[in-house]
Amino acid sequence: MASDVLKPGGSLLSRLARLERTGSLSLSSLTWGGRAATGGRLLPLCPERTVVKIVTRKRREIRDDKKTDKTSPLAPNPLLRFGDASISAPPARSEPPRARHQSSTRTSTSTLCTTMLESGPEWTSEEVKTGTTIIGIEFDGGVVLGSDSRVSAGATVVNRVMNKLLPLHDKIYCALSGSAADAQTIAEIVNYQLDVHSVEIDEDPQVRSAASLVKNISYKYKEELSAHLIVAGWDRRAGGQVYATLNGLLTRQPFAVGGSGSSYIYGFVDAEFRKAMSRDACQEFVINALSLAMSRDGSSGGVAYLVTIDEHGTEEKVILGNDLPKFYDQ
Amino acid sequence: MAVAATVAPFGQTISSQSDLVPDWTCREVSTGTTIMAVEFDGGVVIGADSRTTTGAYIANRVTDKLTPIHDRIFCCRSGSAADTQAIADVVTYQLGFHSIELDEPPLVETAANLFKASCYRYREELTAGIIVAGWDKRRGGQVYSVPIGGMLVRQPVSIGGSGSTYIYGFMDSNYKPGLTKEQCLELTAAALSLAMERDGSSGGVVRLAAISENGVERRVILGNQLPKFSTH
Repeated sequence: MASDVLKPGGSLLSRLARLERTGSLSLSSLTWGGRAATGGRLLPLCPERTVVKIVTRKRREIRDDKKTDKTSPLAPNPLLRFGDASISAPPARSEPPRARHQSSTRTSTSTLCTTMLESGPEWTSEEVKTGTTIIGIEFDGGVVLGSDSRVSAGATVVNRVMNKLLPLHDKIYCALSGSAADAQTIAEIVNYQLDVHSVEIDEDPQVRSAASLVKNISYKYKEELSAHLIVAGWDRRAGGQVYATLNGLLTRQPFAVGGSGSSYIYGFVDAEFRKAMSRDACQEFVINALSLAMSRDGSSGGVAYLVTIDEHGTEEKVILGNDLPKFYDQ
Repeated sequence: MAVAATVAPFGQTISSQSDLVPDWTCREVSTGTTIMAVEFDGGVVIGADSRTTTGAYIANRVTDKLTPIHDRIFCCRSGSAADTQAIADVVTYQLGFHSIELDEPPLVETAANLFKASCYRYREELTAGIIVAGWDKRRGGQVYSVPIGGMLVRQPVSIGGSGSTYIYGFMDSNYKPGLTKEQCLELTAAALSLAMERDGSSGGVVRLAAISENGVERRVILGNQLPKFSTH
């Protein structure tokens, strides 16, 4: 559906109406004559452009609407879920043809296109995402976590020095990726929950507990949230551990990569990772991987943040752009 | 095993097919693929995986995506199987004709320009990402990349196809100019194995070919002989 080309004029309305009938679109009402109403918001329709910002929600959400817990601290709005597809008019060339052949059959949010509001720069209406590359790796006696520092809203970089490695506890950190708001909120909530928990048990919490707390939130609100956190740390019982919590799963891995830039370094990390590397080798591995991803991914860049956690303490480091390793074509 | 967290910028499609009709009856045949070409002094090494998919069904698990265009010029195909086969046939004909007129073997650059001409003119209708590689007397081994959209650029090493995203980091860190033929073959085999491991649309066997003045040497690396990496 992301590959549908919407033409201006009456066919737009009939196409929207058809989509609403099939249940994949939820529009409270739709009018012609210059304005469209979607989910209670009015958006001006510019006649020259093929454009409407359509807010959709997944089929499951429509059914599960009534069950949403409205008193949750996150208070998600089940009606609205902004996507980030943008197809500008005239549509034919801007759509990458490869999208036609993707055969994903999972039910998920479908976003058709983005409004081309004449007023205001694009980034005021785009969701803020930490495009990102994050990586966590375990060594004997601790873990190393690394991230880039770019936060983007559409094509604009709104923060080029953000530290995406947030502490959950003294020796437990998490790396953020996906929607900046969602990820930060999860990290803050888990920080609080972990404080309470550590007072209750009267000792330092386990990394697995922190990861479980993150997983619980990610799983319960998986429809509303789009953030992936990697949780890593050191505790007395199991040493250094790295947990991935994507979409609500919880799995311990020797290393984990995440974020949009991670696609480009899968080959590299598969080839270069060795079990039981030393602390310095791990740091170098993380820096190399981040540098490669940052040079290929448009949504990752800036400086590299590194956090090394072991039984003696936590060390935070920043590596500036010009100090990052360079590779063949740079 | 690292968990993927892909942020899909263009949204994912909702399947509107019922489960009674299999997915592959309504999907176009695509060479999902990973393809690669590397230049060395005296020739080029090209490689590809061997999987052709129709949606989630693997239509051919031993595809040959390295298509000869002329004696010392090959192309690696990715994208729609039909589109790339059609373009390759057209270019083979055009190049054959041109070479007879010239009365000598054609240049790799000529072949690449013929691909570019077709891919650019029909860019709206086609989905074809092609790497043209070969040897000629004037410039030795050359690799030309003609991605979707119809651009043409010469590069010392080029990767393409859906699986190529996963090996950008590996290629950036492991390629350096001045490799020998054996090193190029090893690099290509390693890169393709890594991509096949991660990309669902790439897999099967690794097909390699080394093109030089003396001719074309083809080889196949079967699944169990692929290089292994420590994460498994």
